[in-house]
Amino acid sequence: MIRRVSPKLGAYAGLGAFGLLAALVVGRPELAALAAPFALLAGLGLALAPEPRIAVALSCDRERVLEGEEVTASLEVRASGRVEHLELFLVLPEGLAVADGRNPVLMRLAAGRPRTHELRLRCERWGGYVLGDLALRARDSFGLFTYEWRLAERTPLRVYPRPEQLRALVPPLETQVFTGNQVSRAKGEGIEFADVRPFVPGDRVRRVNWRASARRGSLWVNESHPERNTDVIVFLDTFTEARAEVGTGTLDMAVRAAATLAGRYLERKDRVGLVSFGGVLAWLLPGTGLAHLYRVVESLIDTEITLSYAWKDVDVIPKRTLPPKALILAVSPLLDERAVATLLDLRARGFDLVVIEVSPTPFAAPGPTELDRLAHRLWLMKRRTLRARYERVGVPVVEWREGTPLAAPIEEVTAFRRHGRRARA
Amino acid sequence: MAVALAAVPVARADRLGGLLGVAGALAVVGLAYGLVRGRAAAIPWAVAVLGGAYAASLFLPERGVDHQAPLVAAGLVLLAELAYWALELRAPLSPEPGMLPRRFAVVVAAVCGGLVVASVALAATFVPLGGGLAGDLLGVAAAVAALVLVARLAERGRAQSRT
Repeated sequence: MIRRVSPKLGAYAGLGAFGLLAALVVGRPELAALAAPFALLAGLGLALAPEPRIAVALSCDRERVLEGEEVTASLEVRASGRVEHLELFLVLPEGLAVADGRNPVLMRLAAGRPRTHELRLRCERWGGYVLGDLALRARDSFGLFTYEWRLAERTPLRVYPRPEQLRALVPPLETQVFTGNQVSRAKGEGIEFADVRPFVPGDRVRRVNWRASARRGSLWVNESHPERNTDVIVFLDTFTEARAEVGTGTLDMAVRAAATLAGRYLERKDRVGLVSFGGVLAWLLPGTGLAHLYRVVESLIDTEITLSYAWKDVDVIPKRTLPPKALILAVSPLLDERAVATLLDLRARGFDLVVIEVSPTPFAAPGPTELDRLAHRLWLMKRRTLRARYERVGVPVVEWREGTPLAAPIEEVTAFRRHGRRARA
Repeated sequence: MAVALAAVPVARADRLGGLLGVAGALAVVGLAYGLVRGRAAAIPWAVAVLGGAYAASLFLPERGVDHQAPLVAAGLVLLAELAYWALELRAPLSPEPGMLPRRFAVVVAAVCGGLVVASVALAATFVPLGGGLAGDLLGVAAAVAALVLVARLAERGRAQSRT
């Protein structure tokens, strides 16, 4: 705690001393009468200004919220002695803002009687926050001393990314062997009709297609497409991002997209894994279920851009993270060469790859001069060339801009796959 | 308040009233400037100049003990307290209901206390102590004791802030 003497104390002490000295010098008691009150107030202030003993407890009504929602933070303040003037300020991290309530707040505390001050906080950005950095300033009754100190409560708050609206998901080219909701291209036991074939010993009688059998004079059975699950790996590029001066950036959009895609694929009983490829490599092995969804989202909200100049390629990613025949959904602004090269490498290794390009173009406006505008056009052409490079090897690259729903680029991927066929080398 | 305190020495003095008026006006203007610009340092200077103008009026002409001195003292305390309070209210934080009346009560208590203390100090001049070396030594001892008390209080406060 820092105790500061206010200018008032120095002024009163000075006026008192000067007046008393002047009274002695000129021999007039009236000057002593003028000086005495100031000297008395200074002395009383020194004698009667107790150090405040204050305890603050912070709590939130919810620990987990979605981006854009509001949460109520309650500050319970208690003092052992009377405090006439207390200023309290809750330091909010970037990403949280006060929606309602006063921050800072000025209050008076009676001895032993707790006061509760509520703040309504708006969670503007996903992330893991720790609330509780409090700055306090108290003053005594006469305003002669100021006490300043900070308290550190630790109240966690997890803000999950706002889900994007999606109508359909990217269908995988290949499925896995476990039961799921995806209609497989293979033939076996299922609901969707696939084909008919001649009866062989071992086939179940109820699979016999009697109409076809009557037409051909021998037994024919129905074959179906089984429902299988898929392995989906969400590949998040965290090398770099493009960001507006105020507001969102490509990383914010990428995390929202990744969380939405992971949640929707997990809903259909697919196995979802996560690779956060950037300055710091982080991964989650594919899994299913609600617990795994929480693991994925918790991992996503800790994502941040970490500057690194080390060259990284696909070899640094653990092999168990990328199961064979997995669908890899890469969410990337395609700004870093390392991410671009790794994705091409994944395609070369035979993975089913889709690239959702979180467009940095809206965050990089052309400069004011002609040279700046020329450089901007060249940069846009370079990005088009990069997309063509991916499309040449059969990877759909769809551009997703801020303000457009995620459903639009997903539909583009589906359309791209409808008109293309997978090349097998 | 400041204008009233500046007018007192002008009304009392039988000569050089203009000079005392100018000094008072400077104090008033300086105080107003300090309040507008938020400079707390202007307040003690304004109080000192107004007090000095009053002190000068005691010699113009030289009279006996002025019994209005406690009122002037209370007026100076009120001026200083109100000026510092005005600077406190410049802060962007709005006080809670009930804080303003309590603060006003503290100001009134300070002014009343100042009036009492000034009256007692002035009344003490009429107590016959006899004077001479004993009286001077008593005065010096009282001044030293007051200084020691202030130093002890300040040291106690510094020790508290270190813990």
